[in-house]
This record gives sequence, C-alpha cells and structure tokens, in this order.
Amino acid sequence: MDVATTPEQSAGSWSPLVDLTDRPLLEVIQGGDDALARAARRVIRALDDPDGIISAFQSAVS
Amino acid sequence: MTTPPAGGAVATLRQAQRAAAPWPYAELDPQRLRAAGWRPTPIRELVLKVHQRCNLACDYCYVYESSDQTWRDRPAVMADGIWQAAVGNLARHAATHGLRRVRVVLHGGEPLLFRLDRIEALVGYLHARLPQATEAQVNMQTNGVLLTRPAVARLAALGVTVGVSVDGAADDHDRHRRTHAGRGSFAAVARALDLLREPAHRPAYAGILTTVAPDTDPVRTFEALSAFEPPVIDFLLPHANWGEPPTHARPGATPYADWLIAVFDRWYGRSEPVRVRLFDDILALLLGGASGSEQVGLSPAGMLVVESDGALEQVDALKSAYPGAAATGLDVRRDELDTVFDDPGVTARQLGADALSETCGSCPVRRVCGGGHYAHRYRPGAGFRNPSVYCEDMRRLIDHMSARVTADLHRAAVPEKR
Repeated sequence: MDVATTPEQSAGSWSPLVDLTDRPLLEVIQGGDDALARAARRVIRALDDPDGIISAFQSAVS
Repeated sequence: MTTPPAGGAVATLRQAQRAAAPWPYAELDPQRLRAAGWRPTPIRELVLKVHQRCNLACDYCYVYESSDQTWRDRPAVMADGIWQAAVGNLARHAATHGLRRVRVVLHGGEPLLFRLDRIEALVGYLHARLPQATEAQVNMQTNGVLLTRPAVARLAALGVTVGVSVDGAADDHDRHRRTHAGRGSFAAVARALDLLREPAHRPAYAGILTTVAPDTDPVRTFEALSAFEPPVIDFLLPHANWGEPPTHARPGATPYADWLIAVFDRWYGRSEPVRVRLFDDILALLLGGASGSEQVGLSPAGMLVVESDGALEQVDALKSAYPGAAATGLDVRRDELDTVFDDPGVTARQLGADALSETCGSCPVRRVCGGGHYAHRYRPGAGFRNPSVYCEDMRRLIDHMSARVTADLHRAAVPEKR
C-alpha cells in the first residue's frame, strides 16, 4: 500500500490565528524561557521533522 | 495485504458499527479515498495491553466501567506469541515505511501485573527485531501502586519511561482511584513518584496523567501535581459523548474550560513552567504548528492497540462510545499493520479537516480545536462526524489562550513608546 511519508500532505493549507508575519519576534522567541517561547521553538523545530502524529501518551511530545 | 476474514464475527461487528456509527462505517470508503489520492499515515505507536486486569477499581475507568466489556473475554496476560507477533509486525511496518522512530506503550489493565521479567524479555526482543535505522522508545502507563524501588530501577535500566496516573491532591485522588477493597491509592502513588524524581531514576519519569474534575480546586490540583516535579502533566477531559454527556455539563456553562483556564492562568507566564501537554499543544497550534495529542489539532492518529488476545484495535477511549467501537476485526498475528488502513474507523482518524462536521468546518478555531477528541464527537445512531460534546468548553479555553498569546506577542513585538 502506498502510504504518506509526511502527515502534512492531507492537512490542506494552514492559517494561524495569530498573524504576526510583519513583526520582529525572533529575538523574543530565542531568548524566552516561558511557555510561549518554548512553543514557538517547538514549531520552528518541527518545520523539517515529521512531527504532529497523534500519540496516545504524553511522552510522545519531544 | 491481508484482508479481514469475511463472515462470522467480523460481519457481525461491521453490522453493529454501521448501525451505531454510520459515519464513518457506512459512509466512508478508504479504498475510494486512496483512489482519489489520499494517503494514510504509517503507524508509529503500538499500545500493548500486556495485562487485562487492574489492581485498582477507579470509578471512572473507561475500560472496566464503560458499556464495552470485551476485556472480560480476553486473556488476563498477553502470551509471548502475541507480543512477539506485535513486535515483528511493527518491525516490518517500520522497514516498509522507513520509520525513524516508533514507540511501544505497555498498557493494561495495569502493565506492572505483567511482571518485570516479561517486560525485560519484551524490550530486548523489540530492540533486536527493529530495523537498525529505527529508534524504539518504550513507555509504560501505570497507576503507580506497584512501582517499588527495584521496579523503578529495573525499568530505568531498560530505558522504559513511566507515566503515572494521578488525580491531584490526596483526598481528590482517593475519592476515585481506589483498590478493589475500597482503600485510596494516593500514598502508594506518591511513594512511586518520589522514586521517579530521584536523579538516578529521573530519565525514566515520563510524566503525570490527570483527569479534569470540575468538582475539585484546579489550582490546588495543579500545585499538588507540580510538587511531584513531573516532566509533563497531561490533563485529559473525562470521556463523554452526546449520548452520555459530561457529568458536570450544564446549559450555558463551561465548567471544564473554567477549570482548565484557572490552571492555565496559574501556569502561563512562569519562567520555565512544567510542560502541560494540552496547553503546549494549543500554543503550538496557535502559532501555526501541529499537535501530537488526541485532544486538539488535526494531526493524523498514528497509534494502534494490541489487545491481550492479539486483536488490533483503536484506542480504548472509543470504548466509551458503544460496545465494539474500537474494534477492527484484525489480529496482529494474521494481519499486517497496513491492513488497518482499509478500516473506515482508522481512516477517519487520519483525515484531519475532512473528518470534521459541517459545524466544525465553518468554525474559526477548527485548526486549533480540530473537533476535539474523536471519542467525544460520538452521537448514538449518527457516529463521529459531530462537534465535540465539549465544544463550548474547547472554544472558551482556546479563545482565552489565544487572547493571552495575542496580547503578549503584540506587546513583545511593539517597541515601547518613549
């Protein structure tokens, strides 16, 4: 069977709720130690990784 | 590919599933979807029900207290031939699809009843059978009662990470999580968590899993859990659906969101806060990323369950919907894992936005909410293409978090005026 190698192929286009495309946030994200900075780093890390496959338990979060 | 056997039990199962859940079982055709270009996502996680019985009798357990009582007909202990077949099947699947990482979750019942010598044999067999390029993670989800010092040390040495179910403060925990004799289990679980916190065992500490309970104090619960210094806290909404609504649901009220928001406000903005899977996932989704959990987002489900008799099933949470809701009719000894992609139920959980109801499809937060947990969308006689029974709670939580995030990001990005 032909199976997808990345989960994004069936996900369609993505439109984030918080549009900050015109704002210089990299410094804030890289330097922060709060949950938001951590989340942003996670999103950036996942750009070249087939993350986002649902797992049943918490240790799946890398 | 092996196909499920025709007739008999499988035919009866399919008939029951089509009646109880026309969507997806009567309306979704996986083969037609693939012909139209859709591609399934490989399985990356096998949940092995290595022991079907439990040393606790929690009053909300969705395995033993739900209408699906199939556990009664299965062997208490998973035989060697079953877990060996499961590992072999996973190894072939990993090789076929070039998977870099897979996970095996030891589950039950209570997996520690399976015994440590069997666990050691299973872990050794797994590492020996997987392709060299595939990394294996082994996790256990336990109630913690049997986690003695020797057990923790042995699991840590085997590289098995351990997640423990705890419901917060001692009195709240003991109200629900009791032994068969009616005694609370908190003291034993607290001892186990203290062991996992020790530096030598810390790598084996996967985290804490907690059920959201609006009749408890959310901040007190969060602080009680945080005191155990878990790497992650995973808050789960109690399993419910449109036929069996959440215990605390009331028209116009959002008690589950209110509880979670109180925790979020306590947690958010702290320096290096403990990871809270639900909040971390929603934050990542708000920023344009993906989720790895069942509760939010549109990611495809990449896990399957192997029952102690070898049956390949979807996750236990579906058993809260109707008897047989998790079943596929497949057997890990006979059927390759790829075979599950012919199952409408498995396929439905990999479709992302295409599995959402019309209501969800027009909702502005659909990519964050993702329709909520699949089990919570069930409506008797209709199936799983509905908004979550927690829809209002999810919307309120996401709106609250989005407002906080938006304000913070704008504040951080705009230079202060002189």
